[in-house]
Amino acid sequence: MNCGTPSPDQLRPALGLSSFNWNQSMDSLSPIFPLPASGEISSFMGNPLNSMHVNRLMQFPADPGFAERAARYSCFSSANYGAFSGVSEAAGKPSRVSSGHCLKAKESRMQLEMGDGEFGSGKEDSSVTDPASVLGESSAKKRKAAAKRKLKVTVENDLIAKKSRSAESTEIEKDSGMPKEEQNVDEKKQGKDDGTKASEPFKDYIHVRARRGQATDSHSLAERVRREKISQRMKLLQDLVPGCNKITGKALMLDEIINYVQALQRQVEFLSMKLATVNPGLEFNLENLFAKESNEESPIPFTLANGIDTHCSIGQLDSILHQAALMQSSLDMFGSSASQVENLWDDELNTVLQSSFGQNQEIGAPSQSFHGQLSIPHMKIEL
Amino acid sequence: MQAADLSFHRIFLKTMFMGLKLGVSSRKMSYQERKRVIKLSANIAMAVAGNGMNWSRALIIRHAKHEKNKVLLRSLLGRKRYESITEPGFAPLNFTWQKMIMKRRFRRTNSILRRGAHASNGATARVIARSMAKKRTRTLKSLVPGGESLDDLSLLGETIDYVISLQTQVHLMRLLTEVLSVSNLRQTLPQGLQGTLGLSNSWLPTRILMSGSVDYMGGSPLS
Repeated sequence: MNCGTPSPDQLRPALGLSSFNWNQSMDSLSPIFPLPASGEISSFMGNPLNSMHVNRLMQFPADPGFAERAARYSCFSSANYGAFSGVSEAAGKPSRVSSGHCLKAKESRMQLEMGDGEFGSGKEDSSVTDPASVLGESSAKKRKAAAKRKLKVTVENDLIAKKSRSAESTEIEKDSGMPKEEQNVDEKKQGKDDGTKASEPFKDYIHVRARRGQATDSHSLAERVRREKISQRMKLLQDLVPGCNKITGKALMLDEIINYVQALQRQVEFLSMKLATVNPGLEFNLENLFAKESNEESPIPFTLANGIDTHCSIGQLDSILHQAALMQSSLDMFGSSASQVENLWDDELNTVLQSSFGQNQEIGAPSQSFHGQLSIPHMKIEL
Repeated sequence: MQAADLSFHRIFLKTMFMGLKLGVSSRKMSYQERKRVIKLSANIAMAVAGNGMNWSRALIIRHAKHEKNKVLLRSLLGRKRYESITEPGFAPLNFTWQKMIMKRRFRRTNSILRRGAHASNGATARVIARSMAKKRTRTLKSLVPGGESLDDLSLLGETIDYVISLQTQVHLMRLLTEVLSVSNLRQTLPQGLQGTLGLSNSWLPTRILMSGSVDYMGGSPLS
C-alpha cells in the first residue's frame, strides 16, 4: 500500500475507473481525463492541492467504516499474496487505519479535483438511484475502494457526460484535434485552466489541451491521451497488486500482474481442493447461513429457523446475506480488527451451526465416517 | 458502497451454493469429481457476480465447452441466460484460432525485419522494451479469460476487474472452508470436548490451525 504519498495521477484513475464498467467508464470519463491529463497532470505535481487535501482529510474521520473496509480490503489483498509483510492482518490498528486514511486521502483528493476542476460546484448528489442501478452490475470491490460521496459525484458526472456524448472517444479526440489547435495557438500553456474547462464536458467532443513544447497534431494528441489512459490503469493495478509501489515501467509491472493473477488462480485451485476434502456433506450450507443470521438479528427469526427445512428460497438467502454483510460492516464500524471480523463471522456461523446440527443428526453419520480420512489431509493442509 | 460489496458477495455465495448443491451428490462422488464441481461452481459464481464484463462471459463460455458441465451450467444460469450467452454471435470472441496464428506470424516476421533494419539506431533499447511488453501482454491475454481479442487499454481494464473478483473469490472461498471445517469438527466432537476446546465461544485465528491437530485427535477413536 502506498500510503506515504498518493499521487494525484493515482487518484484520478482510481476515481474514474472505479465507478462502473471499464469500457463505459473510459468513454464517459474521457472528457474528464484528457482535460486534467493535458493541462493538469504536470501542474498537479502537487502543491496547490496539498493543503486542500489536508483539509478534506479532516472531513473524513466520520467514516471509520470505510477506512476499515478499505484497509481490510487492502490488507486482504496483501495477505493473500503473502508478499506484503509490513501491513498484515495481524498488524496493529494504527497501520491499518493509516492505510485506510491514505485511501481516503486519495479519494478526497480525487473528489476535490473532480468537483472543483471540471464540473463546478453546481452538481449536487441528487440521484442516488441512477448511479446505484448503473453500478449494479459492475465490480463491487472497486466500489469498496472508493468513498461513497466521491462515487456519487463521479457517477453523476459520468452519467451526465455519457448522456451528452454519443461518439467514440478516439474519433472524437481526432476531431477535436483541429479545433483544439486553434485554441492552442492562443493559449498554449501548461496552466490548469479549470474554469474554461468547466463548460466543455457537455459538448460533443473531448478537448485535449496540448502541453507546452509538445506536438499539437491530432495524432500525437490522441496517442498521448491513450498513453495516459494506459498509465492510469497501470497505476490502478499497482494499487491492486501488493508490493508494486517501487516498480516503474510497463514490462516489469505487467510481469508482476501476471504473477499475481497466476498466484490467485492457483489459490482458487488450492481452496477448491481444500473444500473438496473438508466437506463431504454440502447440504447444510444454506441452513448454516439462515440460522446464523436469524440468531444474530432477533429471537423471532431464530424460532423460524429451527422450523425451516433444508431448502431455503433464494429470497431468504438474500436477506440472510444482506444481514450478514450489514452485520459485518457494523462490526467494522466499531473498529474491530480485520482478523477479528473474519473470525467473528466464522464464530457466528459456528454458534448457529451447532444449533442447527442439533436437528440434523443424520448428517453426522457420513461425516463421521469420513472423518478419519478427512483429518489427515486436513492436517497436511494446516501444516 | 455497502450495497455494492454486498451484491457481489451475495451473488457469488448464492450461485456457489446453488452450484454445490446441484453438483455434489455426497454419496458416490470421488474426490476429483467433487473438486472439479467445486471449482466450476466457484468460477461460474465469480462470472455471474461480475456480470457485464467481458471476462465474465468468456469464462462462462470456456466452461460451457466441456460436455460434463453443460447440465450444471444450464440449471445454474437458467435456460434463457445460458442460451443467450453461448450463442456464437459475439464478434470479438469469434476469432478462429487459425486467424490468430496467421496474424501472430505475420506480426512477428514483420517486427523482426523492422528490427533488423533499424538495429543500428540508438532506439534499440526502446525496441527491446516494446517487445518485452508485447510478450507480457500476450501472456496476460492468455491468462485473463476473453482477453485474446482485446486491445491494450481494455485488456488492462479487464485485468483490473478480474483481479478484484479473483481476490473476492479467494476471500469468500477461504471463509467457506474455514466455516465448513469447523462445522465438521463440531459435529464429530461431543459437546463436552467442544466446550473444553472453547469452540463455542470466542474464536481466535490460531484455532483454525489448531483445528487441524484436533481433527486428527478426534478422528482416531472414531475411525
